[in-house]
Amino acid sequence: MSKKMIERFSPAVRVAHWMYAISFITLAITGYMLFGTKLDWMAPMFGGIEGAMVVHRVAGVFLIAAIVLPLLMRPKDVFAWLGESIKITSADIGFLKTFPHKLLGIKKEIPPQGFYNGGEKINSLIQVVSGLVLITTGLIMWLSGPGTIAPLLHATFFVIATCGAIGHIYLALLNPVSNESINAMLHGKVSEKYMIENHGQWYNDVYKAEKN
Amino acid sequence: MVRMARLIDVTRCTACRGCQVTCKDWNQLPGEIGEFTGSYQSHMDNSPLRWTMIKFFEEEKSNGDVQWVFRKHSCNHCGDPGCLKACPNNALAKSELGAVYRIEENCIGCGYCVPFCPFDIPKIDEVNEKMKKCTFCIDRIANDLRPACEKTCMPGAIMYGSWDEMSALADKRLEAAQKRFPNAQIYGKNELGGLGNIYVLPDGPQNYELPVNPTLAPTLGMWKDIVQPFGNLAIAATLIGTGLAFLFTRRKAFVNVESSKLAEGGYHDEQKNDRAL
Repeated sequence: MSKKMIERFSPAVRVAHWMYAISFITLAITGYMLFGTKLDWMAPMFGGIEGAMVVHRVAGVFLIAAIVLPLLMRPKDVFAWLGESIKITSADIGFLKTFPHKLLGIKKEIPPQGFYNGGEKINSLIQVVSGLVLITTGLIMWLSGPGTIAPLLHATFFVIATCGAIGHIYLALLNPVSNESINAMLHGKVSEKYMIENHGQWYNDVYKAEKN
Repeated sequence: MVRMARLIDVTRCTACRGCQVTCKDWNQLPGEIGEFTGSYQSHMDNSPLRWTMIKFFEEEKSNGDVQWVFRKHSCNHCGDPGCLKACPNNALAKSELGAVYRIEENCIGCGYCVPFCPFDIPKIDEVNEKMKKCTFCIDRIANDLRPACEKTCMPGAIMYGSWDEMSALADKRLEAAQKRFPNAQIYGKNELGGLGNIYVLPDGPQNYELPVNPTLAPTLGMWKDIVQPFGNLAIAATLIGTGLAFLFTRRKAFVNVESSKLAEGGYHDEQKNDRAL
């Protein structure tokens, strides 16, 4: 098999992804200091928990920017991603059925996937939904005081988004079956072999069209 | 230790505001000049630097005369404090004396307690990022001193003692008050697990900015009892799950490498050694 590389993510997408990722991790760490006590040892880094709350708000602005800027500058890319993500096909269901094996690093035959596989779609949807709730409740708490419901929702969706993010980071960095995909987010390119194996449907669509 | 309480006999208060001043004095809170409130009332509400104040209420008597009622407004030190349960950082505690007090280093002024107080007591000091409110003079009462406000009260409108004593005294005071105010009633004996302030009121509590049936919001406690423990559990489970999966995949990958190398005829350096021999 040739070592041909295939363009997967444009620089704009990668910048948006990493802006969101860095803001998200900062928000999760500083936010957790109010949620629980396990990370309180990190508080001095931010100037105490009070300081962490300030960092939390600044990071929140960056996270909103990581959504608003792509929406303004690359609306097509954003809507293409959203449109793909909400289209759950039978191939995605098939992918999710083999997901436990993938999680444990066991290669299994998967139905040919589109540009995003079933897992990536679920991850996108988790982030979109919890991101919307977190930003809305966060802004409410910031601008008009906590109230009785916003902190509850903020905390609930923090848990959902964080668990999703942990899974996402594991699959992208540590899981030997899928960690090749990190290159797509770092350099924009992935080997042709990986695309054929993991995104067969997309590969066929694009390259059949090219041949014709 | 016995639960302590203050009796606040609104029918006896003369609005001298000695309690308001002595509270500032003991707690070293600088004075604040407020806006004109439209009456002789000094300020609109408590603030981070004002933990107690006298609220003025004008009422019309049945014969057409106007009467003034003065209520001391401060933390009620509820038997079942909503603020304590709402605090995400365990910055509020309840002493055996019944005082609901703040632990300075834990409080970060997030304000989560504010909407859960039915009496609108916690005030956020935005500069220092702390919640401020009446402490029941815990530094005094824990050392067998009386609260500053009670010590200064001339007409005996504020009394201090064990909760049971104050409860009994309230009944006596009510009897006396009912001669002047037929609608007089006691407030705070049954509300929210019994308040640390038992009031003798000339009329229904709604006339004096006190909620008739103070209740705690239904979402109170869901944060601390459900979202926090289960959230921590979910995050820990995800971390442990992915960690175990990682170990599993590494082991599998290692076995695969071993077996493929064996199939090829051993490791590269081993092959070299064979040739050398």
